[in-house]
Amino acid sequence: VSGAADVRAFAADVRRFADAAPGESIAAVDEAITAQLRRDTGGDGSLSRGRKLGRATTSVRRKRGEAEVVPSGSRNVWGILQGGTSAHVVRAKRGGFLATPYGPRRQVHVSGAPARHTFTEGAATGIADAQRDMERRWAQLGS
Amino acid sequence: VARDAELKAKITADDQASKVFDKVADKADDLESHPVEMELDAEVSGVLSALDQVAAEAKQTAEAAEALGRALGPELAGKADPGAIVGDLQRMGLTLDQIKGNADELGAKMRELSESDVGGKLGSSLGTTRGKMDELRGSADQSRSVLANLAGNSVQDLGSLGGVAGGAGMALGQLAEYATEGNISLRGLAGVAGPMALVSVAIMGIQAGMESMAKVKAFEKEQVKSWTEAIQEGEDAVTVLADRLREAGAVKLEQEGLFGNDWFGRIIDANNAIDNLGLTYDEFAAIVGQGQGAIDSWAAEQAAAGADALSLQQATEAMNQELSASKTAAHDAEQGLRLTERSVRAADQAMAEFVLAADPVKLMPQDFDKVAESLARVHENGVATQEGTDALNRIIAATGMTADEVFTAAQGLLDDTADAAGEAAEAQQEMADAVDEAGVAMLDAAANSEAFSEALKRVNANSSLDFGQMAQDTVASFDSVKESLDGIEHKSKIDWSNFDITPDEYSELKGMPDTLAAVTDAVSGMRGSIQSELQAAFDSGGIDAYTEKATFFRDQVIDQFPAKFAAMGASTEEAAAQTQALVADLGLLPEDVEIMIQLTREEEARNALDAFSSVIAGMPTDVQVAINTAIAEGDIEGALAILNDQLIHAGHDPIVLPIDAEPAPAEDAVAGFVDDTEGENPVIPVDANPRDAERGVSGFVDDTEAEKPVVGINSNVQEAVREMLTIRLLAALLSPTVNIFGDASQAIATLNAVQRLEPRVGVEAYLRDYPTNAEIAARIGVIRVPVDAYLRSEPRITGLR
Repeated sequence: VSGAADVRAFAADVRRFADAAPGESIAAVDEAITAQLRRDTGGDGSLSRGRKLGRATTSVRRKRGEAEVVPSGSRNVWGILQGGTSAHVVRAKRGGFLATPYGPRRQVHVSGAPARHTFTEGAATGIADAQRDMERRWAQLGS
Repeated sequence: VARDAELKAKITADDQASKVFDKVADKADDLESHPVEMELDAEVSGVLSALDQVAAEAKQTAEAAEALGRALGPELAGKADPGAIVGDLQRMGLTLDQIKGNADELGAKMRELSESDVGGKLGSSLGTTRGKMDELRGSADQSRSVLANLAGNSVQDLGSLGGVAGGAGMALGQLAEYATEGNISLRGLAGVAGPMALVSVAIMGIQAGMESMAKVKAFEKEQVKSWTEAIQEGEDAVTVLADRLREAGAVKLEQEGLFGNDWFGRIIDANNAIDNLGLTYDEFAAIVGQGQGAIDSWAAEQAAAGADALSLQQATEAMNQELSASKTAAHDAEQGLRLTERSVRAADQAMAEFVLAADPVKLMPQDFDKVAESLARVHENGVATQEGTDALNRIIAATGMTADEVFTAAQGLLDDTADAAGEAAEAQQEMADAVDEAGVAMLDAAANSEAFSEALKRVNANSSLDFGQMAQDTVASFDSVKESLDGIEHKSKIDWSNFDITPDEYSELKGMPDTLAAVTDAVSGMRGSIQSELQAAFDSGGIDAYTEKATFFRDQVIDQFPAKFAAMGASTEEAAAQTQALVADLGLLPEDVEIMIQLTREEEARNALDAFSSVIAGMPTDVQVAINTAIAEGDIEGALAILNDQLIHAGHDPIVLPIDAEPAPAEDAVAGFVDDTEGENPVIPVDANPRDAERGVSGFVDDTEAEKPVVGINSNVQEAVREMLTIRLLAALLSPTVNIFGDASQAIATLNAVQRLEPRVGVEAYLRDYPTNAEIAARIGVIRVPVDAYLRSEPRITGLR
């Protein structure tokens, strides 16, 4: 096999790497964000005092040459986890009551929740993991 | 902008690298397919002659190598390169003859070196492991050095390479030559980080959020600032806006960010939209300057004329945002909101002094209450109490008020109480009427309890008090159980005599099919919903409400589930048995309810006895013994009865366990007010000038069409200040005898001063104290109705996890 053929084969490997590596390495990002989500919510992706808000999840989208992790599930939960909330009052509908740990109430004052930056914290860790993963895959090219 | 499009972690591979290697391969192909041809001339002949000499040397070298190979032995000779070793020895200064003559000694030394895994050039020649690795590394280094050059060139340079010119071109040619000579290690290529840099990793939406939020805030602030300056300097606002747009060269638009807040909000350029609509900056400013009506009219005209919808939307939003900023600025400017820290403190201090000086009732509330009580006795029978007289003297001494002033204030308190009680609306009247009907003069606590309970039931029947949301949950839990029962497979095979939908032993749980597990989960959820609702019923309606609710649920289960089980194939008896089991699992059996009630009564009685322990200690010994004996026998309620006998005997009210409080009418009145005002987001104006504040409050009160709006203020100012102001506002706005505007304006002015950075004061509802104690006591004599403390406060839920 000529040297030129070797290099051409390597170029093909590089193309395959570029097409496939993002989709393979994005799993590390997803895992890191999900792990952060579990840490910040106590495991299930929902807020213990806001079960009705639903659960936050992640979604992975893959295309040739690119892949991304985006928030999925409850946008409200993601919003609270990522950006926090300011203090606010929740009111029951007229004639109704809110079920609270203190009994039924017409309204409750909910203190603000600090921003946990769950997605971005997880993503920062995950991207670093993914980069290492991609470098490892790159180093295996041509072997 | 799609909200979820902003927050994402993305990896993209922008492959520029393979293109570079393709060029390398092309170049290498060229080199391989076009060998170099040379013409022979005199100079070349000389070279050839020299080469003959080289050939002779090569022959000698081969002989030396052969001799050395023999000396190395078959094992080492197999992996070593004797020719290369001869070269190495020549470089060390030996001649070929010397090598041939000392081949045996040199071979022995080489074997020794081989066993010690020597590296370097000689190691490579000897075929040692280290030597081979060094050789490989050398090859990789060759790749690396070239690739490092490649990486040193920008991706753009590499991407635009058409040939092999320039710095990058030289690197490519070099790489191609190495490839042709077989000196390129593909492993070496991949091991180099350089080309990896050509595959870009993009992380999006990570840092942008905070930055965009800051930009949005700055944009809003700048808009308002610009308008404020224009107004203050008396300039024409429209001209100022047009100039500002011209200076910026763009109409900017704030787009709502992620989750409806400024997080990931962004400022976009709406110039294209303005251009599409044929608007100049002057025209844009003129429309804004004419106000909301002009904006709406213009937008309607454009829409009717078939203007581009997106452009129109952006332009209209930009106009509205400018208009909003102008209103905020105008408001601030009009109110002269230029408060300093010093003025804030001064206002604060003034407010504190005002509270003390202008409202002695707050200064000495207990004494004023005593005067008021005494005054009430005077109204009834013309006789003042001694306590009232003493209190009157203390107030005069402390405040310098005249007796008439004190009496006026005390009368105000009585009027407040009467008005507030009257304001408790029709439902309270219903309750009072019902109490009247039940018999006002009842002295026996138990009978009172029963009568009062009956009265409340009647009120409850007509009130809007329901547990709508919880009831929905409970209804849903009933449905969940039914759906899960529907999900059971092979219903015909169910052994109804042993079928237990709520297993409570491990042996029953083990191996349970998923469909049955779903039933168990659903029943568990139903139990939780029902118990929550029962707890809520008890909290709000006491034992009667609890009993009534439990009975209701029990009846519902008994009514709904037999048919369900029968439809699944159970006989009538089996269905009834299953239903009964379900009732028991849900804790709805009558005995369960009785136990709960008994425990609750005892707990309350015990609490009451604890509270009165010091009173009991002061009672005659025989009474103490009787009470303690009853407690020791576990008859807590009996002990309380003994205590109550003593209290009544001494002329005090008996202790009545918490039975019921009916909060619905007053709460609904407040809620109704809140609902009415919620949408308006009333803004109380800010100014050091009380008259402006008075007008604002007046307008606010008029707008709400509420005679006695119940408001509080929720703010982020220091707790002490807020509490003080809230109290003042409540008192000022609630009480018909207080000059509403005089008090409220100061309170609001002070609060707004403290909150000067956020001049809008949100008005929210506070549940006011529900003054039924005095009312009920006055009507029926001996019953005291504790108003559940929680109704006086709104619970604060701490954060979210």
